[in-house]
Formats: sequence, C-alpha cells, structure tokens
Amino acid sequence: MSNPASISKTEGGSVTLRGISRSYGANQVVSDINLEARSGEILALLGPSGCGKTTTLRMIAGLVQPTAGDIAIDGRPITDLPVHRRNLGMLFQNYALFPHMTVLENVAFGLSMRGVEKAETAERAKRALALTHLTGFEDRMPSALSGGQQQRVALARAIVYRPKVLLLDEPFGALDKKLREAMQIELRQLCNELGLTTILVTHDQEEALVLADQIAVMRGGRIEQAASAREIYERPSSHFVADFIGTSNFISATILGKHDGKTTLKSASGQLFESLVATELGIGEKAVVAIRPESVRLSATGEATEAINARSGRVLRTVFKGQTLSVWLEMAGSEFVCALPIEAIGASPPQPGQIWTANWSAERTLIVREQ
Amino acid sequence: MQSVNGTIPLDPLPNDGALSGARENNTKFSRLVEEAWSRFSSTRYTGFFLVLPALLFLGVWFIWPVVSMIASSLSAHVVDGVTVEGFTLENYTRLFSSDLYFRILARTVRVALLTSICAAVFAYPLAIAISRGGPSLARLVTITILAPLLVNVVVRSYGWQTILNKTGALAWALKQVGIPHPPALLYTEWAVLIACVHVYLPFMVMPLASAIARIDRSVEEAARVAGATRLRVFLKVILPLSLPGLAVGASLVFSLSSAAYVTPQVLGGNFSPLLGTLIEQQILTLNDWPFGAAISTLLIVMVLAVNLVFLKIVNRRFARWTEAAR
Repeated sequence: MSNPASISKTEGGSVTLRGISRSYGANQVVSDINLEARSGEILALLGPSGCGKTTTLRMIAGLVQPTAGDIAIDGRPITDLPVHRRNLGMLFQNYALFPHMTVLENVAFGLSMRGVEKAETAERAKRALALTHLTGFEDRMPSALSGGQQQRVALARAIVYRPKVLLLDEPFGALDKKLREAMQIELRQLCNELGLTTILVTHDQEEALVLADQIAVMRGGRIEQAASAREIYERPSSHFVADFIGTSNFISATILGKHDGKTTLKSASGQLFESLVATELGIGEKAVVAIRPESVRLSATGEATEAINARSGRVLRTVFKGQTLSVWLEMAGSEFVCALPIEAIGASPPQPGQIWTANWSAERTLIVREQ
Repeated sequence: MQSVNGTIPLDPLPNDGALSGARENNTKFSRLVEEAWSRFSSTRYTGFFLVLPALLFLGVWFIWPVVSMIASSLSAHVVDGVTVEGFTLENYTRLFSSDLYFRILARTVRVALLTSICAAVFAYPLAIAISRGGPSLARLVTITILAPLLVNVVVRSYGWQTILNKTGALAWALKQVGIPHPPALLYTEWAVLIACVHVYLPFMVMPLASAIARIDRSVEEAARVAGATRLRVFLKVILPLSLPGLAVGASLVFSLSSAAYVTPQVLGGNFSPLLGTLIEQQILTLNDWPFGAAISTLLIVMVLAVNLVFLKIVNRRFARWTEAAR
C-alpha cells in the first residue's frame, strides 16, 4: 500500500440476517438464513451454483427483496431501506464499470451521488485510486484497461465513499489464477486496513479459505455450517461440507458407542472405527466417517487387513503433485485417496497393483451427518 | 507406439515415391484453387460481391431516379405554365426568394424535430418497459406499439381527424370536464405533430429498446448501490449508454416525418402544409415538375445533412467509450 492512512480506518458495520427467505413463486431459493458478520470481519458465502448465495448477497444489497426475515446493519433494520440509501460498496463478477466514464469519473460516482463537493470528490477519488495502485490511470476509459485493472477500479469505486459493508459477488472469477491470488491477498490486506466488514460470495473453496474469517457453507438455500475456515476444514458437520471443502474419503457407518470422548463406529462390512472428534450424533444413529487424504499414512503390508482405523487395498494409480504424492487404493469397490508428503515416501513408493494399508489416527477420524 | 514406429521403414519405398508424386500434383492443383479462392474471398472482393445485388437494385431504382430528379430541377423551369428548357438555377432562386416556401421549410424542420423529441420522451418509458420489464409485460408493450403499423397510415390519419375535429372526441371530452371552447387543433401544426408522433413512435421505441437491452444490468445495479436514485441511474447511466439507439431512432423519425405526406395533408390541410404537400401541389396540381424536383432535392439534402451531423456527434461520443487499449 503506497499510502495506507489515506482513507481513514472506519468502523465496519456488523451485518445480521434473521430468518431471511426468498422464493420465486413456488421455488424457494433461500430459506430461513440466520447469519452474522461481525464488524471488520470477512465472511464468505460458499456453495455450488444455485445454492442461493448470490441471492442472499443481493438481498443484503437491496437488489432483491426478501420474502421473509430481517436484515440489520449495526442493529438497525435496513430491510425496507432502498438500495441507494444503504451505504454499501459492491463488486460485481463482470466489474460493471460505467463504460462511458473515465476511471476517475467511475470512482468519483458514489461521492458525487452523495453531494460531496467537486474538489473534495476528485481528491478522495484519487486517493482511492492510489490505494488500489491505479495512480496515472485517471483519464483512461474502462475499455482500455485489463481485467485486473478494471477490477481495481471497481474496488476503488466501491470503497471511496467509506461504505459500512463491502459486498463481493464472485469478484475474481474472470481473472487468471496468478492475478486472482494476488488480488485476493491485496483485497484481504485492504479490507483489514480499512476495517471493512466484507461479505464475499464464491463457489471456490480455496478463495474462501484464503480470504474469509468466517465461512458459511450453503446448500439448497440453507446454511450447512458457518464457522472459521479452520473449523470448517477440521470439523465439518456434514457429508456435504466435508465433500465440498477439500477432499475426503467417506465410509458409511453406525455409531456403536460413546465413551470418554471416544466414539466407536462400525461400517456395513463390520469394520470398526474410533474417533476422538466430538459429534452430536447419538448411539445407533447412522453417520459417515470422513478421512482427509493428508491424514492417512500408508504402510506396505502385502496383504489385506481390516484393523481399527486401518484399511488396505490394491494401489490403482499414483500421481505426483509436487508437494505430495496422491495414491488411489481400491477398497471394497470404491476408491480411497491418500496424499503422502514427499518427504514421507521411502525408497520404495507405492506402485500400482501392490497391496498397501492405509491407517489414520482417532483424532483425524471425522464423523459427519449423512446428509 | 513402438511397434508403429518399427513398421514405417519396412514400407516399400518405390511405391511410396510414386504416390507422393501424384500427391504433389494434386496439392499443386488444390493450392491453385485455394489461391484463386482466397483472392476471390479476400476482404476487398468479398465486400464488393456481397454488396453488389443491393447496389444494382438501388442504382436502378434509387440513385438513377434521384440523379434524374436533380437533373430535371436544373434543366428546365416553368414560366406562366410554359416549360423553358435549358440549364437554369431559376427553380432554386425561386425557392429561396419566397417567404412562403421558407416558412414551409422551417415548419417541416420544426415539426420533424419536435416529433423526434416528443417521440423520444414517450419512447423511453416504453423502451425501458420492453427491455427491463418481465417477459409478459415486454410482449404486451411491444405488440401494443407495433399493432398500429398494421393499420394503413391514411386510415390512422382520418382517425385522428375525427378525434381532433371541432366536434370530435377530444372536444367532447374537454367539454365534459368544463372546457367549453377548446382551441381548435385540426388543421394546425399541433394536429400534424400529434399524429406524426403517434405514427412514428414505433421507429423510436424499437431501436431504443434494443439499445437499453444491451446495457449490462449490473452496471445499473452498481450505480444504485453506489448511491444513485432511480432517476439518477436513468440520467447518468441509461440515457448516455442508450444514445446510439436514440440516434438511430431520432434519425428514422426525423427523416420519416420530414418527408411525411399523408398525415400532414389530412390533418394540416392547406393551412399547415409541409414540404411533402408543397411538392404534391407543384407536380400534380400546377404541373411544374422542375420546381417540384427542386423542392424534393432540397428535402433530401436537408434530411441527409441533419442525419449526418447527428450521427457524427453521437459517433464521436460513442467511440470514446469503446476506445480500445492502445
């Protein structure tokens, strides 16, 4: 940041959604969402397309009216406030710059709408452009800018009037990977420096993990789980979340017993699992055991065994991925993937056709709801 | 892969050589064809051949008549009902020396301009409804706007006559609300204007609607989120970005209404004639073809000039917005 103090740090607003729903005719797009983004926090709404995340964001912006529920910023209800009076900043997937205005005019738009004096408007717009590294581009037209530059203009346009909340709708979808990663880091720094509460919509789990303090995983118009990035990854609450964030191996099982924080499960084939991860599910309930590929250790056994938290199978294929070696094992008709750190591979790595045994610790045995 | 690589050197060479000779001839011929085709289809010629049919048609049915019309306005003039042959500028001096003709010309430009402006004012809400409303509203508005085009313009003009008549529907309605002596509308410029706006409105709505439909919705939304009221969004975003459509519509409406004949004739009568009526009088009533041709030439030049100036202004603005990275 060339001049970090040039737009003063403002107190971002806290955003509260209470029982928000939206339906189009009989089609319920968002149902009963309760969520809070604390002041200065970056919240990611993450989910596959059609999960209602964009509709939720547009309801916060006021571009879509909820059919039920309340939205409040800093405790004040804004549900009935028209869009232009909500004092929000928004970034669109396709940047949505005004094609007939110069970069400076684009950035100054929000200020002139607020009746800010001309000289001050130009001054503040220039500062916002400096903040997004676009000094010198003031008189260019948007069509003469690259995608990354356009996104920066859109960002400057959204933050120049010190909004309470910044809303991002798949903001980096159109950028290539390198640029996307650079913009993500830059955005995170900027939001933290400005103390901006930010709500981000994305279908890219990596983007959510990089940017967000809190991730709300959405599915079918509902929130599956809302928690910190680390908790979502390490303690997914459902099969869907464990599958959507990162990769997991899933084994259906029934809970046999719970004792001293240790849960014992049994799969349909009679294999036993032990987990030290807390679960709300009770004895006798159906559950799914989820094991992250990087939690697995492999040992060459040469024969099939089914001990507790261990399973063996024939190696189907191996793929070298730079930092890890991915190994796919065939187990009871399904595939089981392990990601081995390169340093952990000995002189004789797994070869297709060999029988290897995967085992994992009880701390790394996740128990998730079936649905 | 290895076995395939192994078999290649085992192929009998002479046979292969003969084949390749034939193939060479073949390629030479096809290269010739390709060259001929690429020369034929190079941008310079393709463009010409694509335009040729239209060019021939317009040449015979438009350009030649216009040239001969201009020629006839310069090659003869009528004195006391007698045609005097020979090159002359008499028709044009007559056109510009008389106050009467100048008034009609001014009225034509005024009516055409006002028609364009009024049509634009009425067209914007309709165009927005078509391009931004729900599909059923859009269809309804489109049909309502286009339906009058199915009715002959003569019929529509007489329809307006019965409405604007001294004892017509409008006068009756005004009397009901307590205006017993409304100002006469029929056979005034106003009647011509009202009917022209009605007749030419579709030509403004359609290009405007397609221009507005092309504006990215998220650009409007960005403006609203940034603090613009709906009115401000219209003035700052929709209006400037729909200018290309407005230019097309205005140029259509201006051209059509300045050349209108039936509507001004039926509703303006002889009290408020436009150039079209004047031309008809000169040619059909007074049998003065050269002077009629001169007025027609003036009309064409005027419409052309206004259109060119207008499009030039809009194009220059629009080029700035799409200025590519250099």
